[in-house]
Amino acid sequence: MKNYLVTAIITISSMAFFSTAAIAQCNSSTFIKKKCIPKIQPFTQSGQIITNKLSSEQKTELKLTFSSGQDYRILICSEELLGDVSFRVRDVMGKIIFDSKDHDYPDFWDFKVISTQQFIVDVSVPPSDSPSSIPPTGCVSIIIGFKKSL
Amino acid sequence: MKFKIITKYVSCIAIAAMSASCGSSGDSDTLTNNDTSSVISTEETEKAEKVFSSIPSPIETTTLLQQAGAKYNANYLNPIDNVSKYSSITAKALNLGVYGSDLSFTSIFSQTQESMLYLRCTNTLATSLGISGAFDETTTSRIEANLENKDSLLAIISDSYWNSDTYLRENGQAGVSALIVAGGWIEGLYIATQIANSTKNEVIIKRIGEQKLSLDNLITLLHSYKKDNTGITDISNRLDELKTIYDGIFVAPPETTVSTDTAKSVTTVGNNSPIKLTPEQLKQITNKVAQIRNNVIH
Repeated sequence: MKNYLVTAIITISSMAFFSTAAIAQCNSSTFIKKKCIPKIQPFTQSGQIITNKLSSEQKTELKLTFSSGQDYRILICSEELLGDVSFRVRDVMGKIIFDSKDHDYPDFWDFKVISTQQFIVDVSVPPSDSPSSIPPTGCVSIIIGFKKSL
Repeated sequence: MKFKIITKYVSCIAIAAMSASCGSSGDSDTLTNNDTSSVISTEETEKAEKVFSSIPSPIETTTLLQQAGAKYNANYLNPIDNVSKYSSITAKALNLGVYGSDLSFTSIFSQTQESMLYLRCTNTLATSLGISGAFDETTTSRIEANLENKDSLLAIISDSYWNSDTYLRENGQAGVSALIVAGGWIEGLYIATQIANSTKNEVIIKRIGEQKLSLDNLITLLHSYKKDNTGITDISNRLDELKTIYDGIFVAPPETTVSTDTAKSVTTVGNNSPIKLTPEQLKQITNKVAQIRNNVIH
């Protein structure tokens, strides 16, 4: 009985440790600095990076303002195990402005803004092809870069 | 002039040293149930996790001001001597945002000496809040090495914003991060209104009107963390008063247009609902944001 108790404590402690490590890893600067930030150039990253831990078929969304006279890059940075993560951009009236599924799943979209407005960026993780009953879970970051329109 | 700057510099370092020497005991006093770090419920955090609102960073805001023809004026900034006044976590977080915005302003206008002063102030407050990896000695060294390279400076400051946000979120203090964002936004709008009133620059006045959209996002962000939190509730209520003025600005539902130049692979988006401010609305916004900012920095 005592052995079972010790084993259970070790198992639960290990799960807690790995769970915390996975969450910490998702937000860690290593993932974003190495995998994501370089892709924002030649734009200046705005300083607001949203990172979330998502599983198969999960979604996240970000609402933000884009200013006139600027060029923007919306960059979606995700871990490979999640597959073809897609994103779409819609205005506040629901009109789809861009859908990455229509463009062979690029991880960024560049555009010019001639009048200041808000868009909502929806990011979706596809269903998993894995035979495992545990869906893959990984980090997804939305990064915004800007520069003056030429 | 040079002596004055050095004096300010030494003053800020001295303040930083004083803060470091007595920081921990003072901080623990302010970690009450009403303060930010300890009161974000799991339910609120989960609800806030999947749907986000974001507002332009001070880097982007001050870049827009410069592009609009604004000139540098140190009188618009929060005096560095104020850094010693901030003792609660709420005050430190809001003013880290304020000084971060001022740092962006000095950097974009290539005021290298002033940038170092404001960097020290952000360093002091970030350290006092226990934020590591942002506005720290490493950042200071990187900035010192890139003082003449504005693009690098802005990239480093952006990194610091992101590092502090990441650190706070990882440590269950997303509410503190929201306060930093609020402080930065308030300072950016305050500076813009001061410039607009002295220059009547139409582009800057237009930018002030456009902050209607960001204000809505900022209030949404703060509301995510305001339950049982007097610090966030207080600033949120003040911003609600500003929102009442902005609500008076009519904006037609946008009809977004998208056009693509296939030869250049450039997509352009626009809409038909420009935001215009009347002189009276500008005056009201100027007065209200000055009042809010005055409350934050004093």
